[in-house]
Amino acid sequence: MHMKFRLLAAFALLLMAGSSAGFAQEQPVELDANESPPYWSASMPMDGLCGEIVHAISAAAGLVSHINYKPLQRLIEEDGNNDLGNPNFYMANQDFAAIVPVCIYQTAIFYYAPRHKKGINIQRVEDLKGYRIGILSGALVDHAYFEKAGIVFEQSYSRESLFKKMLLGRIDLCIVADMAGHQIISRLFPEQHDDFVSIHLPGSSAPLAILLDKNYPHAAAIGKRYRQGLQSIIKSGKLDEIVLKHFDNQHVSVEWLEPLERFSRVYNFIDSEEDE
Amino acid sequence: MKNLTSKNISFALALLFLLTLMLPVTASATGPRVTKALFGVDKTEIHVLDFPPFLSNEVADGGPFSEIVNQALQEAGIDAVISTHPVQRIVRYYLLQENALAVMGWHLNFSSKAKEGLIFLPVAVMVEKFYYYKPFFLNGLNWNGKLTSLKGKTYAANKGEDVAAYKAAGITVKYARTVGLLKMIAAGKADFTAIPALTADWLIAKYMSAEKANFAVMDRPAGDNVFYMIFNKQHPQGEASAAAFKTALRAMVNDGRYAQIMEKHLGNGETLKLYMGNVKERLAQ
Repeated sequence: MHMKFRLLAAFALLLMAGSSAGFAQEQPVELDANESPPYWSASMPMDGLCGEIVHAISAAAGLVSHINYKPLQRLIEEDGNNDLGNPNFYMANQDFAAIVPVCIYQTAIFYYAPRHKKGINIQRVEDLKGYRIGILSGALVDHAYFEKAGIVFEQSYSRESLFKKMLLGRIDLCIVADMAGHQIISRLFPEQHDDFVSIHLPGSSAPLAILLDKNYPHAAAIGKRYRQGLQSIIKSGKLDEIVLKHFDNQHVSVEWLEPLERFSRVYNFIDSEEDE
Repeated sequence: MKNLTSKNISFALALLFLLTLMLPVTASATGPRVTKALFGVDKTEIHVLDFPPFLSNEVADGGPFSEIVNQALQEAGIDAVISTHPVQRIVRYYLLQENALAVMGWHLNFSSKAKEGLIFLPVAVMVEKFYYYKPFFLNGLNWNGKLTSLKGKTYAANKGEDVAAYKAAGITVKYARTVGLLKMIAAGKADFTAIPALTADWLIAKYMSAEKANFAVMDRPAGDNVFYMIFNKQHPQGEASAAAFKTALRAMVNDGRYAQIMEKHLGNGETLKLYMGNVKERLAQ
């Protein structure tokens, strides 16, 4: 009788373990994002650059991920969902069981070369002085610092208008996310594509990540599989392939690896975070 | 007095709100934030805990603590940029794992061994208030200045907070990050929590505006808490930078520039007094 009970208990445990492992394989993992082309976009194939990376990681990990697009305010207010994006943006209001950086975005300064034939080199704040600089409305943080340094910004409500103003000579430079800038140029000014120059800001790397809510079923286990999936597509060259496609054959994914590893270390602690 | 304080808090929040209008939320999600740090690849990075409205990318000039610290760093000859992070654990990671020059925050919960390698300098001393959720205490909730008057209740504490006094008074303790403390009392998982009033009002307005009327504050202050700049002795410039920063900050406190910056952000009323604690005396120690 005792033996029979132990066999039944073992069988029940096996069933539970099977259903737990099977959950992640059979049910899509629901992830919420804000429409932010070309990083996350419902209108782009495979949900854009980072969306495609998430799907490739999922496939390598034996998972299926489904991206839902929601208005930004809803993403901010919802604190029980899984998110895609910059962890800093979401962590203020929500605790996560796993944060897996999958993509790096950088900031670049763009200018229209025919209007600046000698070229422009910007690395330090002081180098900005004397230029009319366009930025997205609301992007300026250290207002007093830049004002004191004599740097003036012109704010616009859309990235597209920043590039139009540059072409017309109303501003000299604009500061936007690098891929967003390249995409706008390709879309609005395909014939002048090579006339726009981008200056990379090396200190501007920031992560875009999969964030799994602390109460999402099997979140820690799914997070672990996403991490394994990421390592797998780095090794297989799939990550490079995706990035090459989106970056017009520039090998930028090589530059991603170091910050991606660093941010993976920074955010990896969340898994083991306990109430102190 | 209560009305006066509430009027001043409203004024300070209105002032902060006006400053915040310069930073609509769309920019933070889809575009880069144009900060000094963006051009600071060759500069020292100081990692700080996001603490609105006193220190945050969502406030113009980063808020009063950020402006004070930036000015003191400049006068101390420390060429550094400030990077804000949402949780204590990330700030601790950069300090202890990546050997950062300095970090800033509160409730950072260092081990006694780690503390030996650190230099703590107070940047602000803030009065905290006890908050509770009215629907769970229809007759109100108060304390008499002794924690034992709250015996049997559950306190929502910041992760990393020293809670020995609460436990000794027979109070159960549960932990969360600052915004989580308010959510915890709203969900009935804890009875009360301690937060600086401006921070509580800020977080409620941003994340829980529909429930604003349900939050109540106890009359008697919960006590003081200190926001620290923490220098790393393991960093080659750690001790020298700490000494230079302390000299610069003391000069700003003594000649009134510290108060001027606080006034610019918080107005010149009763509210200001809540965040202008004995930083001068603490720096002299």
